[in-house]
Amino acid sequence: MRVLLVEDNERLSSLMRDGLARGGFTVDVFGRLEDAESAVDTVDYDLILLDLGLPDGDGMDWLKRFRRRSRDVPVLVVTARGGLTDRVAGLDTGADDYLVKPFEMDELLARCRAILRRPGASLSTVLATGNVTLDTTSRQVAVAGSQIDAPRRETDLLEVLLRRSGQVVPRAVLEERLYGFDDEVTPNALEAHVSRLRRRLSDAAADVSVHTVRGVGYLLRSTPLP
Amino acid sequence: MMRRSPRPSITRLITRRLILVAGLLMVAQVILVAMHYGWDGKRLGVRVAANEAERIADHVSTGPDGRPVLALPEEHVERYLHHRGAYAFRVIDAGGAEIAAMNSGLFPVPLPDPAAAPDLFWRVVPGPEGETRVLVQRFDRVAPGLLVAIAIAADPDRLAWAALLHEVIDHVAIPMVPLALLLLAVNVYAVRSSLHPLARSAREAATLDARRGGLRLSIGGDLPREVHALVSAVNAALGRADEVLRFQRDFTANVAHELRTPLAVLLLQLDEIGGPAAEAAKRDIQAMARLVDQLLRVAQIEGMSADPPDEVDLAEVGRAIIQQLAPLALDQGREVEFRDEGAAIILGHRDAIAGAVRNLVDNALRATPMGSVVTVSAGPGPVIEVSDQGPGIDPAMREDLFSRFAQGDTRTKGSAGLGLAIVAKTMEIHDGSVTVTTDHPGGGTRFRLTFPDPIGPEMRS
Repeated sequence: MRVLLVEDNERLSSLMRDGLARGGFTVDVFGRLEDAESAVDTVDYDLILLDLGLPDGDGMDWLKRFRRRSRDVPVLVVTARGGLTDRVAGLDTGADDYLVKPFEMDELLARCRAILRRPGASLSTVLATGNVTLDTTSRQVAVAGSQIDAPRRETDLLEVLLRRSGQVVPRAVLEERLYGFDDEVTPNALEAHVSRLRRRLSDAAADVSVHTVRGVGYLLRSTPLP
Repeated sequence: MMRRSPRPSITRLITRRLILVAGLLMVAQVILVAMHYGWDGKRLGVRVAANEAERIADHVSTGPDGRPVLALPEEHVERYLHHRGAYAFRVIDAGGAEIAAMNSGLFPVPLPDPAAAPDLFWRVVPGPEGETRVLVQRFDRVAPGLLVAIAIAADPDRLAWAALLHEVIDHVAIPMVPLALLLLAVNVYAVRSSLHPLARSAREAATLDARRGGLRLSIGGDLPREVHALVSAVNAALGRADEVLRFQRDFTANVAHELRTPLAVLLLQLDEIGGPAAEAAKRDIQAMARLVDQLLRVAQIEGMSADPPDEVDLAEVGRAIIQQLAPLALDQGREVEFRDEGAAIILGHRDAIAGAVRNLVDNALRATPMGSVVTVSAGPGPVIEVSDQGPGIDPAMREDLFSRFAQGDTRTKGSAGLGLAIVAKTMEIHDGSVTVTTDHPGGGTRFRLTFPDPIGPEMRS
C-alpha cells in the first residue's frame, strides 16, 4: 500500500510516516501542494492523506482540482479545521473521510484501513471485523474460519454493516441496499432480518454484535472483552 | 431606553417654537396698539365717548308724535345714576330741544347748535378737578339732526380699558390667531410628512438584530439628504461590525490550526514512547484538545452570526449527532437513541446547533448510569431535547448552570461547564431559549432547546 502524505509540519509528518510504516504502509511525504501535484502524476498511490492549510495553497482547492481529473484515489483529509461545516465541505469536495487533529496513531490507521476497504479501492474483497469474515465476490460468510450459511438478504445486510464497521449505518441506507424497487417492504422487514442475522452470528459464537441505535439505524462492532 | 425617558418629538419642538413666536408677535402687536393710543390720549378718549354715544343712540327711536324718544334700558341708566360726577349725556333733536339727559350739569361748555353742528365735536375742558371730555356726535341715521352729547369727567367704570381691550381683540386677536393656527397646522403636517422616511428607517433599525451580520438599512429613493446621510453612516458602521466578525472567524480558524497541530505532534510522540506514563499524558492531551475545541467554538459561534442563517432540519441534526456519538456511547457502556416527534425546519446555523446538541449529549453520557439511555428528541415544533437517566441537577444549581465556566456539581466541572456556556451562546444567537428540568426527584435531566419562527413541518417534504 503506497500512501501520499501532504503535511507541512515536519515533526508531525515524520511521526505519521513512522506510524504508517509500522502499520504496513509505504509513505511519501511532501510539504507543498506543488510537489504533491507532480508526485501524483508519476506514482499510482492507493491513498492520499491531505492537510488543508499548506504554505502554497488551500488543500481543499487542490482536492477540487484533483477530483475534476476524475481520479479514483481515496483521499483522507487530516486537518486542524474541526467545524462540522468544514467536514461537510470536505466530504462534498471529494474527500472520503475527514480526521481532525489531534488524533492517535491507532485511529489514523483504522481510518486508512476503513477507506481502503470501501468499494473502488483495490484492497482484497474479504471484509472482516472480529472473527467474522465475508468474501464480497463468493458471498461466503465465515466465523472464526468456519463457513456458515446465510440467506442473500442477511449476507447483503452483513456486508453493508461490515463495510462501515464501528459506525452507525442509517436505516434508509440499509433499506435501499437490501430491497429492490419491486420488493414489498413491510415496516418490520429490516428488524426481522437484523434479528435473524444476530441469532445466526451468536449461534456461530461470533465476537461481533449488531447494535440497534433507535431512531437512526444499526451498528456492527466487536464485542468488547468481558 | 428611549421609551423610559420620553423625548419631545421634532414636531412638538417646532410647534412649541411657533407658538412662542406667534405669542411674541401678538404681544408686540398689543404693545403697538397700546402705544398707538398711549401717545395720543385723544384717540382713546374719543373712542370711549363715541362708544358711549353709540350705545345711547341705539336706544333712540321715533315716538308716536314723530319726535325722537329715548328708552334707555336699566343697566345703561345705572352708570349715570351711580357716577353722577363722572358721566353725563344729553340727547337733543334737530330743533335744539332736549329729549333726554342725565347729570347734564357736568357739561362745562354749551353745546353747538344742532343745525350747524359738525358730525363730531370734541373738546377737552380743563377744570379744577381735572379735565372733562365732551363729545357731541350727529346721528342722522337715527333721526335727522339728532345729537348725542357725552361728558366724561372721570372714569370709575374703566371704560378706557374696555375700549382698549376691544381694540386689541379687533386688531390683534381676530386677524392673528387664525393665521397662527393655520401656520401651526401646516407646519405640523409638513414636519410630520418630511420626517416620515426617518421614522421608517428608525423602525427598520429597531428590528435589526445586531448579533446577525450582513444587515443594512434600506436606502430608498425618497430619503431626504439628511436622513440619507444618517442611514448611510449607520450602514457603514454595520459594515465595520461585519468586518470585525469576519476577522474573528478567520482568526479562530488560524488559532485552531496553531493549537491543534502541536497537540497532534505531542500525541503521536507519546504513541512512540508508550507506557503507562505516556498513556496518562495522552489522556491529558485529549482533554486539552477538547477544551481547545470548545474555546474555539465559543469564539466561532460569535463569528458564525455574521453569516446569513440557513434552513436547518432539527430532526436531521438530532439524527446526525446520534449517528456520530453512538459508537462513543457504546464504548462507555451507554446507549443513545433518537426520536422524531414532528420537528420543524428552522432558520439558523446548523454547525452551531449541532455543536450545542453534541455538548449536551456529551454531558448526558457522563451523567447517565452504565446501561441506561440518552435520548435526543426533535419536535414537536422548533424544539430539540436531550434527556438522560442520571441523578438530575439540584434546582439551586440550575440558575447559573449556563454561565461560562460555572462550577456547580460534578456535571458542570471543566469542559462540561464550558459546554453549557456554548449551548447558552448558541441559543442566544438564535433568539432561542434553553431550559433544564428534572423529570422526577433524584433523576433524569432534560435539556430543552427552543427556537423561534419555525418554517413549519408542512415544508419538510
